[in-house]
Amino acid sequence: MNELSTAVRAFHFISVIVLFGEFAFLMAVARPAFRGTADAGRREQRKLHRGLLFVTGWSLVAAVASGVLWLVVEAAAMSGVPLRSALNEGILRTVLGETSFGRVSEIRLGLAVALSATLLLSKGKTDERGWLILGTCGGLLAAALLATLAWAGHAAAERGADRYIHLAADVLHLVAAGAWLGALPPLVFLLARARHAASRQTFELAVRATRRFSTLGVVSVGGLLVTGIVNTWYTVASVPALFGTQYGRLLLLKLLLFGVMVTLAAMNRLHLTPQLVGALDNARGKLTLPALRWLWCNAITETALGLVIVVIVGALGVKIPALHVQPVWPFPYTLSWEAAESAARHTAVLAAGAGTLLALVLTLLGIRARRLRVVMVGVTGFGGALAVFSWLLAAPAYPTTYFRSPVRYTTASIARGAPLYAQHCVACHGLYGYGDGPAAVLLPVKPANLTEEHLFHHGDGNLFWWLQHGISGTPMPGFADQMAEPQIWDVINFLRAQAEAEAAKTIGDKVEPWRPIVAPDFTFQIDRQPQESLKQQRGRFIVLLVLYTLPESLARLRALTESKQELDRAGVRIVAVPMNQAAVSREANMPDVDASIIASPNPDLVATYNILRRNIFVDRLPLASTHTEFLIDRAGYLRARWMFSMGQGRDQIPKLLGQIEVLNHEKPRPPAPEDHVH
Amino acid sequence: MKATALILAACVALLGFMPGAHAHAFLDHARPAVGSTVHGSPAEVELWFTQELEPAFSTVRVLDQNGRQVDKGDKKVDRGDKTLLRVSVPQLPPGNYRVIWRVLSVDAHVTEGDFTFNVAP
Repeated sequence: MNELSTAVRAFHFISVIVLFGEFAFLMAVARPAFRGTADAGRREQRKLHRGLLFVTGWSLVAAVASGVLWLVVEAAAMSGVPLRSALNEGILRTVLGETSFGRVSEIRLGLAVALSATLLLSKGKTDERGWLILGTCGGLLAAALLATLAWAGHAAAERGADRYIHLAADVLHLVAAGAWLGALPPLVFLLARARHAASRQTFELAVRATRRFSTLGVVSVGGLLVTGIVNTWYTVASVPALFGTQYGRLLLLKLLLFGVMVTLAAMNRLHLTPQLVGALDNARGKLTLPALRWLWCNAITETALGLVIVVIVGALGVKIPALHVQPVWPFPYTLSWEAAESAARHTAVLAAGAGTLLALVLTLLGIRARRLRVVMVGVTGFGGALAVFSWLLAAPAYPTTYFRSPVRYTTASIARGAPLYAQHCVACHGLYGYGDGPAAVLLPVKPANLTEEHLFHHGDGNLFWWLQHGISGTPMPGFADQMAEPQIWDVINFLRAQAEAEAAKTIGDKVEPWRPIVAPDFTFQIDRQPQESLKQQRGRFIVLLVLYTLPESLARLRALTESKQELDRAGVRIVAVPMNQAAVSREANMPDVDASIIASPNPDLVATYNILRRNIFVDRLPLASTHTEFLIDRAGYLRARWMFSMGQGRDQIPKLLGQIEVLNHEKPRPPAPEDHVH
Repeated sequence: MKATALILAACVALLGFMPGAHAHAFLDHARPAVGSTVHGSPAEVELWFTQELEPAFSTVRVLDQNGRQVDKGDKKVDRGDKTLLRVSVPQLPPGNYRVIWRVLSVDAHVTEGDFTFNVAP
């Protein structure tokens, strides 16, 4: 189905581009070039006009036919039925009336009908004014037909300001591409006629047309570059996505072909056309210049390349934009600033970078001043400095290096990861990840300390690969046949919680200058209300997460209830989760305790936040079940922690309020990073 | 100068970019949350997606652990927030439930997926 969709799209794009290109050629190239000619020129002009009408008419027919076929193919894809069943009136009517794509298709069909009317009405009106009207009206309608394709593409799904920017960039990209690619076939036709013509006048016309076309080409290429960058920003947005996804690689191919086209066009403009103009001024009689033949050849090559590019665009429209696919890195190395940092090489890297830029500037100056030797020195210097720069930044990379975790950092995931760690990792890495497990003594290469912060600078993707395949040259084994992929992501989330717990050991009852310890997300339910999550409180409430036991916590819970109004005013939500069996069984039956702070039992939450209870006084698990409170700020970070045993904490509310005041007076911080990819 | 401009443009094009927005609607979050346990039956199952949806071709079903459809079949895209798809369910007995969704984003691409949640007494 995808291949059919690609083929139909490509065919439709080609017909609309050819259609628009005829008008673009007429208005921007042919009319200015033919101005003021007589006799033979007039004959050529009439031939050209007849050809234009012929191609315009047929490309319009092709556009409508392929457009209808595209609608049917889309209807089949949308409704999930086979192609033949999609020819059902009900489905087509739903698509046309109730989907964005269908409504755009209706508008485009209307434009096509208007364009056919314009063409039919202009039949027989072959005077100067008639052509002007046809060119303008027809050109605008054809441009609209081409531009509305933007609403059938990925830009239509953006929201807010992005939508306008992306759509505008798409529209300009389509029109620029249409003007350049679409005007190539008539140019080829004109050049072919000039090659076989008997008269100097035909030759002159061809040269004039080529110069006009060249200007059109320059404007188009400039527009394509700028709008192309904007579009890439929205659909690819990163170098790993460019090399690691099908979408990205197709885009690279498109850019390569575009580069070849621009090179040919540059050759035409800077080299061949001046040659022709020069010859025109000097020669007499019949002109059979190689330059003209070259121009004609180049124009045909460009047309062919343009055709391939449009097919690629058809394929790109069907694929998921690279932004949303896990990029599979295809090279054994990548450039990484972290690698240079850990090898203490940053001065060298900066020096190499500066050298590269200097060499580039030197090259450009050499080009400007037309000094070949300077250019060659500059290019060699650039190549050398770039090589050194790359070598310094090189780090080993794996197919999964740029993967992002598809599993969010939640208590559910961490609670799944903990027993997996206990089963597979404790023997070497130890109970707390220090690398001091019982088996570690026997190993030639000591197991890593998994609580060090720099471990996570490697990125989730590298950790994922090492867990799956082990680390060659070390005793670290791979677990791909013992743990499924989601389980490995759970272990990675657990490792993160373990490392954060280590860093959190010094968190006390005072809100210190901020530290990036993310509070794992969790869901909670108060009094059978709809489920809520910690993440939903971001930007709105400070959360006081209370892990309570009964009967020890009763006094504290009552104290919190008494101060609830004050806490509400300060923007605090209290979520109290039962920790011991007595508390789990009694749930909401506590006198003098506000039911709106008591949440349903959540074993995963307790298990996860238990890990975060480790502190400098009580380090080793399992910890006794002691009433613990965590203060989580509006950005989702863990800021303070209290532990009360045996009825303490009854009179500690003012301290709590004091710390909340500190949080309320802080500068708002950006929320904790989004940590998973869809 | 034109050469400079072209080379500079190419360099800009090759640098990394800021992350952009999405196309194709993927599940952002749900209520009941993916893989979570909810105490007492929810009144409806809500799914938020990364893109706005076309109501005409977006569906969601809730099945129990025997594969029987248990939702009320009234799936609807919220009028105020077109990224929200919801379907109401009757009082669900405790157990595991599977939510299967298939949605059409406004850029005419179909995505599908499923997740489970647990109802506790």
